[in-house]
Amino acid sequence: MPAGRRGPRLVLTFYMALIPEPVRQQLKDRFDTVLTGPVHLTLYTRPGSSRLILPAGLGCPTCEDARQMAELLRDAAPDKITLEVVDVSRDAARVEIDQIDDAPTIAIAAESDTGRIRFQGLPTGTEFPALIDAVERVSRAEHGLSPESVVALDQLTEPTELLVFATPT
Amino acid sequence: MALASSQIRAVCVEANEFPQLSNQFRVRGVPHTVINRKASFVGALPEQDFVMAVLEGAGVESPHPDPPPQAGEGETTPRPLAGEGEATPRPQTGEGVEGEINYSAR
Repeated sequence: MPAGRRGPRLVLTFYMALIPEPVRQQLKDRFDTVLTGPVHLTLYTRPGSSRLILPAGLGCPTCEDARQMAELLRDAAPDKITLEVVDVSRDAARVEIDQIDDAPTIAIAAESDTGRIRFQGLPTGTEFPALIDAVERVSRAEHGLSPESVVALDQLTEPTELLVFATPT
Repeated sequence: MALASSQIRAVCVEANEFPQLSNQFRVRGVPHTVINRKASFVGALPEQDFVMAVLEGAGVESPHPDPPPQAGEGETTPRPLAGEGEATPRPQTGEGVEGEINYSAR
């Protein structure tokens, strides 16, 4: 290791509860009134990972927090939301079939199939409301687009991937 | 958009958490949208422009924002041009996207 270069960096985040209790209650109250249909969440993670940043493919500093967040969503509406956890280090075939790039990833679907709306990384900050909005839209089957946009999107005949890079702030 | 089209898979990537992926697509600002890992644009576009950018980026030839007009429709209900009484003028096909979308090589 070159002189002056530090080893693995400890990420100091989320030593408190990820989401405070008042927000959890708010979420429960909101889901009670807003959710209408079932939502299936799939969390792709590496259980047992610490918050140490290790070489690519080994560590997962935010997987534990992502698990807490996914369980928070499920527990906010357990009668509507189901959660499946996939260990990407043990289920390579599933990762390939579902076309998962990395962990943690939360996929959102109406049924128990593979979600085509995904959050790769920990959706905190401004991404958290987007996660909640996605859950609600999937539950209500409301895309929110104009009829013209829906007709225009019918021109897509091949699978199309959109990667939207965002930051929590 | 992924709810409106079964062809679309939408992935929101936390840019700071995956620096290799961010560097691969030269992410310098957010939101930064990459279509099929070939085309990209930066910023939040109006809905119609966003749809057109996705269609162009996905390789749809001659994408159109609206269904083809029926015969005679244009004579009875002409779409107002920009500045002719429409409060929020809609850009014509391609306007607003061209120049913002960047077809970058991988």
